[in-house]
Amino acid sequence: MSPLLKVSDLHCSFDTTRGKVHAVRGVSFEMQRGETLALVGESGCGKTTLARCILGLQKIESGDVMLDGQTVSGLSRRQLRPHRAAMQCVFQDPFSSLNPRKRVETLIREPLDLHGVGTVAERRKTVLELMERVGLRPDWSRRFPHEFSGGQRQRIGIARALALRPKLIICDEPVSALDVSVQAQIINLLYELQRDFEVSYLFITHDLTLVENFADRVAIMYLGQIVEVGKAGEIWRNPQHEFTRTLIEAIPVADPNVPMRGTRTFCDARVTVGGSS
Amino acid sequence: MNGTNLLDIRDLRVSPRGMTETAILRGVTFSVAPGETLAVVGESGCGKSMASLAVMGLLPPGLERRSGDILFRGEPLPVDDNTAMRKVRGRRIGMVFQEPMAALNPVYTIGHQVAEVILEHEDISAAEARLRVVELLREVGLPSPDRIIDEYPHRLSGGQRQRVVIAMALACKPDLLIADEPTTALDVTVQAQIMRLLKRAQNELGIAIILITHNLGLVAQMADRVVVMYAGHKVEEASVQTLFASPQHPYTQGLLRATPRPGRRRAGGKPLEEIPGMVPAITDPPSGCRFRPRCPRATRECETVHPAVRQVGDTIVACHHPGRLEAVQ
Repeated sequence: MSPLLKVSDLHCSFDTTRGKVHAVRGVSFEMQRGETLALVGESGCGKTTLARCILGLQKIESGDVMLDGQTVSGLSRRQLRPHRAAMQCVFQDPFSSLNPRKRVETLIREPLDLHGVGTVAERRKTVLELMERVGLRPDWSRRFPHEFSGGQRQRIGIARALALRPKLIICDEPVSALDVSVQAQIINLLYELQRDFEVSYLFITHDLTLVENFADRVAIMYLGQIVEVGKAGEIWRNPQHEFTRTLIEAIPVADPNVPMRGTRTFCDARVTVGGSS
Repeated sequence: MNGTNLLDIRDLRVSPRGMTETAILRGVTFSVAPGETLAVVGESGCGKSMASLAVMGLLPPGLERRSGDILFRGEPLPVDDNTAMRKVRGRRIGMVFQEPMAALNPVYTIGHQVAEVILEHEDISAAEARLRVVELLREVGLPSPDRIIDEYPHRLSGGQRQRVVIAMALACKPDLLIADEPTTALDVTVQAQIMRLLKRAQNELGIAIILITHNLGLVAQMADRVVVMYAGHKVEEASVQTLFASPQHPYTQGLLRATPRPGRRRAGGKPLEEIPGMVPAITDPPSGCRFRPRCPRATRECETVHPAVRQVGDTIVACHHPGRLEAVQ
């Protein structure tokens, strides 16, 4: 059986006033069905650009993206449309990613409307079921996004992403804007939904500790490249790449008996003062 | 409370102007000793930032201090007198905020802005101030300070900007530094550098630090003592060792369990422990204990009586049913 997602030698760059920025430099990886792959890296490492390339939201320079055995890179918008149902996304900021003028039921139903799934009555029913499933009271369906907390809005975003029964959901920092206690609720919800919906997650985050308990595998990204991939626990116990070691040492451990680490420094290629490119 | 404390906050209450029923801080008391690091922990909306803004006399326009004393070295701080507070801010108490770009003026050079702090408080020439600035920028670990001094903020990375803000906060060697989520906007490798810088500055200058954060990892690494806040109340206060070893309040225990612990992968079950429910709206707080609707130990008493702050062992806690939780994994 072919992998669910296969990314091969993907390159992407931007032209800026300071020259060409090579954001993604030859990234290759595979994801299996039902798997959670965490993509971990610091700001500017290209993790979000990589996600946009996979979703077809960003033009790629070279390389291939295959979803379920079919090439989805380099397609026109029209050609891409049938594939869009299979890959959905959940964004970081639940305040800006939901249209404030639309009611919750509309927001969750929209993907079904756009893809013409079922009758109007069936779609309404699906919306209420989804709301219940993600922990929102169905009688809130006429409310607007501003009437919800950050965690609840992220639940709306998750319901919307699930509406089309996708095979892959790309979660781009879905809990970074949330408080610790709510963060755990959302991670656990995603975990439970994965079993019921048989969906794979590409989980993009800067927080390695978060995905340690949640992801199956972890890919570490640095300066546009994946520098290390491994099983979630393995990466933590036995990091191979120097950058991974730097990253792990910098994470403050929630135990006062563990002395402060992070004395290691890694060549910081993002220093901007007087930078030429 | 005695004369040895650097800062004493006693029964501080802050409310939106004209709203007597709602309160953002509902009688918060804590103190900071010279040279120590106090971490103030809590989730968004718990009032942790408001307490520090009240100390600086910088409460947002819609809010006011209803009651409570703020003492600095045993003397009341003139928080309502802006002119008097200008002599305190930057000189006695330095501040570092979450967003370094918001703390810096984009149209002035780094050198101008750091020198401004020094010239506000000290009677020295601009040339002398400039030399001091170069030295400060060097001390906070910025590369080629004699070049950076003439740069504008947008030319620096986030970590470099935060170093500049720290240089400004330390410029007049204050007694107290208030750092409000100083590294939340930064990458974790940069965060480690900034935290080491703060530790070093503390050791060299003997300053006390109030570290306001939601990151329990940082608390464990940095703090001597910890105050945990929830919905405008102090719910627990203890030394960092005691708090992590035997948290008493169910909220503190929940926070500790919800914090991802690397290297301790849970076998089966859910990936993380969660605290059910959410923080109550300040306009519609529950009766009795504010944490009651989310609390596994809540009883009838918790519904009717707000728990007073009391001493339990080495911990100060506001809970009717405090107690150690055996399995903080």
